[in-house]
Amino acid sequence: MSRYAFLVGGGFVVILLACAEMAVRGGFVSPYMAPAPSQVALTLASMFSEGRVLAPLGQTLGLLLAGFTLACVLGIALGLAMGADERVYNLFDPLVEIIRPIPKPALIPPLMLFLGFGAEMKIVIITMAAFFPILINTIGGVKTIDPVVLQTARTFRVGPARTIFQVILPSATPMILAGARVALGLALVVAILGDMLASNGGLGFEIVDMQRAFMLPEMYAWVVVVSLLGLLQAFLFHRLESWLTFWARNNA
Amino acid sequence: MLRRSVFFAIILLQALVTQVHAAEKTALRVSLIPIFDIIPFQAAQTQGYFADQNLTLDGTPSQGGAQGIPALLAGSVQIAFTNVVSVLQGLERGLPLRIIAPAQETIGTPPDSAGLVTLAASGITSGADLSGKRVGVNTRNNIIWLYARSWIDQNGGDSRAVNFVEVPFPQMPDALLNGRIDAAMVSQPYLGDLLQDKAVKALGWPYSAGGLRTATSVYVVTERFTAEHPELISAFVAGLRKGIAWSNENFGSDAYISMVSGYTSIEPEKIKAIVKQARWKFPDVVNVESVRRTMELMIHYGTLKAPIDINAAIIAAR
Repeated sequence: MSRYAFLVGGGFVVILLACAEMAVRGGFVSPYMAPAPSQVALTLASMFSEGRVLAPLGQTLGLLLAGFTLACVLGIALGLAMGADERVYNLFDPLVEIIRPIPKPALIPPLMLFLGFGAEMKIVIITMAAFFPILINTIGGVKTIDPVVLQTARTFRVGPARTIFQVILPSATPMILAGARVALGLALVVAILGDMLASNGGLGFEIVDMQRAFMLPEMYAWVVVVSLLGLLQAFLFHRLESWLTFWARNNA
Repeated sequence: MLRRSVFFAIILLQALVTQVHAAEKTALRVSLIPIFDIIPFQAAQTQGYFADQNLTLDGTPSQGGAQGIPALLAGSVQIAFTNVVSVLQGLERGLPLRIIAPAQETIGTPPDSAGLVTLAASGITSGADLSGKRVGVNTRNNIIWLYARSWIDQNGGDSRAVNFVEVPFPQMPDALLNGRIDAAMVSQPYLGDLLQDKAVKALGWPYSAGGLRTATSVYVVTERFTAEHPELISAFVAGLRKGIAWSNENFGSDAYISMVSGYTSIEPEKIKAIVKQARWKFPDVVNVESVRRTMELMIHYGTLKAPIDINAAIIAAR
């Protein structure tokens, strides 16, 4: 995004916030439903300065990263196998097509029965949510490799391991990264939802807790923290993507 | 020609009468929790006391007052059954709530309207044993949570070290028996249902400290509703009062038991066993003195900054 484009979009957000502020102060919006953005901003600032944000943020982020990493490893591994070998694909595809369409939040109640309320349950559900986009895109990335590249590797008698890491993966990297970006967004959704339902800390827990105590500025402030986490996530992923694509291009 | 006119006139008249009749009956939505506290309400429904007042009440279930009050403010329900702690917190934050009728008061002696239970094999006997464990409450920041914390702190534990998990009352028996929570503060009749299971034991009775009766729940409306529909509030309270009287007079009768079994989905035999254990008498005024004691507890736990005058929020129905 050019800097000018950012200013236009950013300015638009500021104008919307100003309208919201006036709406609340003018009495058009009930203050019991939505406090003024200025009040939320002040509450957010005090939350940061008092250091109250770190623990829940760390908890949610930790589980998110654990689940996402696991999903990447499993998704890429199975994706490579399914993409390369027709028999493996036929074996797993029906199972994937049954589980994939289920919105993962719907699986949280059954998972709570098996795994309880703790970190294991949350990591499992985050992994499940992030797994499928990565899997599908890895399969797609592997299957759309230019056959000439594969044949060239065979001509040069490149062994299977080197073929995977130096030929297939770099070629499939753009598609895998596209899947990973989607997966990261889904993982955040499921992580927050897991916090809300499993009640033992994290950002989602704080949002629900503040709502229970009718502390609306705090509740909205926590929602803003989640949004900031999402932004940070997207930014870091963008940097990772640039670095990986550079590596992939140079290695292929 | 004349016969046809008469025929149409009769149809028109009937339509008119029906319309007028429909306009007289007002439909209100009430958010409820399916526990013993709302027995007088259910009695008024089944005995037709609300219908006598031309009120049609549509009950919608909620997990607790912390959910019912936002629904009330958003206008999706007109009357909310909620616990006193949520009301006090709401009043302190400036929410325009008004109490129109009492719901439940604790008995003051075990077995009470709610209590702490755990698995008999868990080895948990004191508040200290609950450190680091999961205790189920219907929602946090309400009266159940408050008194559970108070019991834990008065019985050798530190309630800050306890993980309070939100579980709706009807799901608490499953959650406890399946080990998803280590203990729970459960409300009747789910409490009585659990205690009839040999695997469960009573851990403590937070409401019965001091043997005093404590007002736990009330019915609230918004301030705007009191200004716009005082006649509906009077009608509700009149119907509810009859329901309270019926519930107190017919305690334990077959009609009583089948009504309770109906809205809680617990078998009549279990309900019979629960009502045999204690004589329930529902109050018809809010026990303001007990609310003062609850307020002190709330201030102690930091959920209320200073005492508020609850009398200002109670609407005395005519």
